[in-house]
Amino acid sequence: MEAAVTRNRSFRDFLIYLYRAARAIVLGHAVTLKHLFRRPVTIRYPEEEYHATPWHRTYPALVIDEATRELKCTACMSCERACPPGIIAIERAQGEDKKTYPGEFWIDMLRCMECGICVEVCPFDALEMVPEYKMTAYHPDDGIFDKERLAVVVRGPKTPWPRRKGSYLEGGWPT
Amino acid sequence: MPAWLVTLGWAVLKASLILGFVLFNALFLVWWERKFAARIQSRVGPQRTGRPFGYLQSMADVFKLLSKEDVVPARVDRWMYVLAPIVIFVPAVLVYVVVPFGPNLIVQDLNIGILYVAAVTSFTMIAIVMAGWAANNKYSVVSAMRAAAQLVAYEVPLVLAVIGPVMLAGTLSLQGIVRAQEGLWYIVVQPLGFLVFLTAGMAELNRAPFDLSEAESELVAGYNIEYSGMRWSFFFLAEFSNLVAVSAIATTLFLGGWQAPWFLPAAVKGLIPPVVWFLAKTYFLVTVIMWIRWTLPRVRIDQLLDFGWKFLLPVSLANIALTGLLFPVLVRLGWI
Repeated sequence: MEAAVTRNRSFRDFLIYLYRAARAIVLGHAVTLKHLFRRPVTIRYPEEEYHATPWHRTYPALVIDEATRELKCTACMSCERACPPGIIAIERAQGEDKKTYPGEFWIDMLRCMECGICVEVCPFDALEMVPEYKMTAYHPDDGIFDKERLAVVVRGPKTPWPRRKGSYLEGGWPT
Repeated sequence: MPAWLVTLGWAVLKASLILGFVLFNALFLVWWERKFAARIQSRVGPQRTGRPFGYLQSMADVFKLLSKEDVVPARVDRWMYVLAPIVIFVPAVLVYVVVPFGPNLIVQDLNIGILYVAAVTSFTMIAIVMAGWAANNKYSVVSAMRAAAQLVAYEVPLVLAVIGPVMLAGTLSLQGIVRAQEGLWYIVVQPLGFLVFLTAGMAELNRAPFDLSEAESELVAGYNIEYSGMRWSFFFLAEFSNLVAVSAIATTLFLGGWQAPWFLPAAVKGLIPPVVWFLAKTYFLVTVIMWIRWTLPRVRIDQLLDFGWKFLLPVSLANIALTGLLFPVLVRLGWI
């Protein structure tokens, strides 16, 4: 620790203090110089893309059962009740086999806070957070995602963290 | 053509050249500082306005500032408020009168050049206090008071650091000091003086780590808090103009001005014109000052004044004493 500036300092203490200060200043400049010649970490978004990892949890999506090619959702309304901002709207429909399914399923992504509570409460694992992050729209209405937009196929068990040298981004560091 | 017309023509030409230089510098350095700071922080900086490197960013800033509404807040001291940007900008340009860009490229080689620089730059403090007081804002007054304390404290070591080269060269004329450095740059025999000059110069510039008077995290913005648009940009212009001026004076006093490095053979010296040497050294120092800004955190006001009065002042006095003691030795060695 640097000694606090005190009144009755000996000259020797002062010299030590001076040496430490000078050393710290020089080392600090070495650090910034090193960073000056490092590659920037910025990803210039529209031109370059951020390659989100498969387990990146950005927004909730409806899971399609790979075997039946149907939505897993049974329109039990748990998520609609649990959603803190109350932005999930489901219209329940009933098929011929008496099974319920969502006739319509909307999530207002403009107001979604991506808390993942809907995913937690879903008893059928029919909702999942997915890595998709490109959600920009030219009209506010396009920010309200319907059933088709929300439906995704979640493929198998998620792959482990890629420990390849140099990146957490699948595509490597941006150039 | 009558003589007075010739004089007037030359004066207007020189003034326009200097103004052009100052404005170009501001344009270039705003962009350069943003890029430099960005790279130190592992960012890329401006890049969309003017591809590939965002080189039109400063132009975009200029158009934004020019098109802004000229707001004068209701309860300001109107005269001082309007005058302060001018008072700060004029000395910033006046300094360039004595800056030797080349052997013949100088507006006027005053025989008291360095004294003139010290005199003109102290006007900055008046302008800052004017702006701070006139704006009728508590933050700007605090900022102006800090700036006054800081500038008074650091003006002394700054001038004392200048005395070293003046002693060695035996002249106050900047051109004379540059000519005296043909054999050896004064940074070699005056390293202490150079460091003191650079530190005090940075404090005079109100630049980090001595940017107490515009500490945005404490004082919102500083003495220019109520200014906007073109009036504000005059403060900004003056700041960058002063940055180049301090670097140019430091180059002149310690880095041999427009002289090529003394150890190069004469054939190589002739290849690059003096003005290129001068500008290269100046911009190098500007970059060093930016580097320091983006490395060191801001000091407290008590640390600042302690450092100025209790450290820099004795050191600069010691430097003068050392210079006096070593002067005969240096002459014997044939270094000066």
